[in-house]
Amino acid sequence: MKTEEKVFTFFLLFIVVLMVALTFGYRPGARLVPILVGVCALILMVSLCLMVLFQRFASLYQRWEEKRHVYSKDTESEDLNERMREAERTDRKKERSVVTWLLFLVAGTYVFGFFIAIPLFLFLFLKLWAHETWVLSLSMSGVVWGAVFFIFAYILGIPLHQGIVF
Amino acid sequence: MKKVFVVVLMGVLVFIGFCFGFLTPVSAQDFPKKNIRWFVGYSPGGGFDTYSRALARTMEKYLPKGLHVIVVNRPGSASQQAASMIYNAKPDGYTIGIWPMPGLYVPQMFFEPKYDVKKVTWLGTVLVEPMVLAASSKSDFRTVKDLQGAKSVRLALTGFTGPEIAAPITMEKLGVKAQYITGHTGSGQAMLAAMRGDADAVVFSYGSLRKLLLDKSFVPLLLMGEGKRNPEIPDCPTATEAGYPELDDLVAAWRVIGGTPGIPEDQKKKLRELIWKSINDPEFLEWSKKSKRPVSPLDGIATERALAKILVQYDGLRDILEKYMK
Amino acid sequence: MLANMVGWPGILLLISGTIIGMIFGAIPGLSGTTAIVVLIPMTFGMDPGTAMLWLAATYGAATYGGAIPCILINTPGEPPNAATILDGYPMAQKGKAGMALGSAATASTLGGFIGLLVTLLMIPVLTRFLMAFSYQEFFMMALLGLCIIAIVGEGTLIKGLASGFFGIMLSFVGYDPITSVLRYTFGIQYLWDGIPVVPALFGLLAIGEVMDLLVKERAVAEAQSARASRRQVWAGVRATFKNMPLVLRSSALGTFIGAIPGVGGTVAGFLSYMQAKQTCKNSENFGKGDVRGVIAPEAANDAKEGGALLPTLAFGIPGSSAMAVFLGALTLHGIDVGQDIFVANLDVVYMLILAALGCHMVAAVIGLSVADKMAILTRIRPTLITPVIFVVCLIGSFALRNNMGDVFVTFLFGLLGYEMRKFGFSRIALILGLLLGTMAERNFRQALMTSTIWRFFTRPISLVLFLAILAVLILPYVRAYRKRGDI
Repeated sequence: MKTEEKVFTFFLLFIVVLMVALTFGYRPGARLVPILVGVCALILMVSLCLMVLFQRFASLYQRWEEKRHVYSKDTESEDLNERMREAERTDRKKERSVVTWLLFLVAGTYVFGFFIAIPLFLFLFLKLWAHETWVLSLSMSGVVWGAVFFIFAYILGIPLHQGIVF
Repeated sequence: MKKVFVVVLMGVLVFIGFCFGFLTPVSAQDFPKKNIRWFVGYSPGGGFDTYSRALARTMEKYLPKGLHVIVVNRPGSASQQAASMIYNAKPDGYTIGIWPMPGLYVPQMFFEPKYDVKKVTWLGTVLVEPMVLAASSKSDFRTVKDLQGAKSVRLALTGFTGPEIAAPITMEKLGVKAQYITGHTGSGQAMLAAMRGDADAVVFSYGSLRKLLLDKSFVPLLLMGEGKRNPEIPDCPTATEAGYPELDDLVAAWRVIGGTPGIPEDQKKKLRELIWKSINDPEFLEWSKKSKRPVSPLDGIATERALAKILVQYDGLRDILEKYMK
Repeated sequence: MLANMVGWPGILLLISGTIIGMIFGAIPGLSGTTAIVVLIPMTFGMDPGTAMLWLAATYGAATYGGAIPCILINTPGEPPNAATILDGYPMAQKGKAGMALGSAATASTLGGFIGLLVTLLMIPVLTRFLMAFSYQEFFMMALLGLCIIAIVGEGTLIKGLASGFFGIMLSFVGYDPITSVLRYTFGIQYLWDGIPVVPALFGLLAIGEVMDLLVKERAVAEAQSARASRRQVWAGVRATFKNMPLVLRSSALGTFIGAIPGVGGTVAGFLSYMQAKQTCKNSENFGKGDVRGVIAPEAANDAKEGGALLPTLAFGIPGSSAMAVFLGALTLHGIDVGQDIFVANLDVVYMLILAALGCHMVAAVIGLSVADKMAILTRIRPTLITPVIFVVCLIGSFALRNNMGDVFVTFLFGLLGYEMRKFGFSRIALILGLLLGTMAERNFRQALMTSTIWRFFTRPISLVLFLAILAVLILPYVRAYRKRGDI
């Protein structure tokens, strides 16, 4: 979990560093405000990276936060601690599975279009992930598909993406 | 195991689908046989969208029963996104749209957008809208000569893309020392800026400025792109009357209908006929009158010729426009 | 006129318009504006007053409709409703979705009334107020909005600020608003207009949240008290009336902001939330499910539409994107806007206003009747509801601009939102940065183009806003210091 947090924080830092670096290549007018904001963002991200790498910085900051929240006592830090404990308990395998299903939905929509990908995704998700019954899986897929078609295609006349294969 | 099966199944379906997509031939018989997509490069509710929807409804009257013209809003980059969609679609006549010209030619002069207006299949013109150079009533400017004599004139606009390229062209041709205050999110914002005194003048289409001209928030200084004076602003001279006839050719906002390059001749002819009938349809003209959205129809061939002429003139403006685009 | 509205078919149009508006507002990706665009062709052949009745009812109800998914699934139906998430969703998590929906319906109705009344009564004042706002004031408004990052949101202050600044950096992607230089696009045409805010919002808030529900296999509401939903709805109504001073303040703020084109409706909700947090007693509960955190943004959100009528009718300059469509509808029915409308077509103006008032009442009745049923959604097991939410969000993203790129943005920001949530970064702060970054930059640079930097402090309204920013940033510390002194 600590490693994950480090990776995420450094990923954000990387994006900010990249954007700040690119800023110097733009015309003066176009780079003025991004540089000002970018420097602030850089300072904040570097501080965060130091906090995830070195416990001492994290503790120093925590003490300052507690002083800042003195009028709301422990509720803020309680929530935070609870959130962090929750994060420790997260099932990584399930997380990866959820992301994969979502990726399938997006990729399936791009390739086959909404009208095929939506019922297919819903049916397979309800059957394989949620282990719902055949009746519930088929009926929910049908109902949602019908609602999508009715609202977007029939009433609104919005041409939903038809996929790249059709 | 189940999940592996699903992945393999999807992979096979994708493969079959790809083969299908590439092997299906384009049919040229009995056009049109399916719905036509009409791209608009602006959000719903605006001028381009409103004209498009009205025309699409009218076109459906002349299509075989059950076929529709589907208006697809694809806002982005002052209509360049929609232009790319139309330009790169299959050249089967089923993807057309409305193009703001010659605004869309300007990015092509300096950058490499994903379209080439010189190759677009032009199908007709809905409107050639005159542009007006107008001074805020808060400013001291009341004639073009006042502008020409000033040390600096602050002009409010959204940017140098699209129809607003008319602003620097006008200023350059008139020899006015202009300071451009760009970045407004729309013509309304730019006009408000001028009304409260942050700018002195604007250059926008007559349709956009009409209400504010009539209620005297703005003073019209020059009417461009119209051969004669407008009865609603009778004191405003045309560009030709003022001694700048080239502005009447260069500065007008065209709303043109165009399709993918390479549409077969037969389909092109049918589309041009369809659009010409629709623009001249009595119901469409009635809508135009009622909603105060004028039309100035031109057929496909006339549109092609007119635009070719304008694009050549714009090529001659390359040096002037370069400093604004780069 | 009143007879038109309560007679036939006026009453049918009022009710049907309200229902249509609520549905459009509640479905992410659709909006009141879309609803009007769809309905306009159906109004051909109606007389102007009747047409305006139907359209105004539809649009007015959509702003309440947008609060429903905020509360139930942490996703705004429309961006201006985003601030309602701050306390609306935590209330649902505590099993108080019914109360949140009840207070949202009531606050929306009252806010809508007050917004219209204030606009009507103060047209001359509001017109001058509108003209007094220039680049300096817009910049200060954006900065004030950005200050919310410092006082609301999940997680620690440093993570909140980092998220906000990250969001501001992301807002710079695309065309530079002044010079049209392309920034951070890496040659990708899709990014020329920047990162689209609404798909990013769906991803960060909705997708990120439901991913979390699915991974943890829990429903939105865990508390058993979720069963007493109908009583809760009325508790929400009572809570709103109990906080009338807050409703009045929020509505007034919303009206003034709505009257200024270019500020953006989303700012109204967040600024109202901020003033509520700064002025209400025991505000430490804001962000954890405090009903006042729903009342304030909802009242402001509906009031702002009343304000947006002003520049639309007076100048023909739309106060919001929906007003732009309204303008088209008015013109289509032969009504010329401009200062004369208050003379030449006063009956249509009154019809618009009556319709807006009427639809709020109808929306309140419908909203309150079904609120307890809607609250059931928060108790459905996640494996059933989450895939539907995924689908609705992705379709909603696509429907905005007919662009598959927006679907990918929703997906990517969904992943980002999930990770941000896990590690205590503030998604709301990122959204605020994304929304307000360009507005702040654009107006800052336009101000420097037209005057010197000192004008930020010599223009009266700009100075007042600057002092408000200082107050927002410093007051919490002053209060904390005082409280320590009292202990």
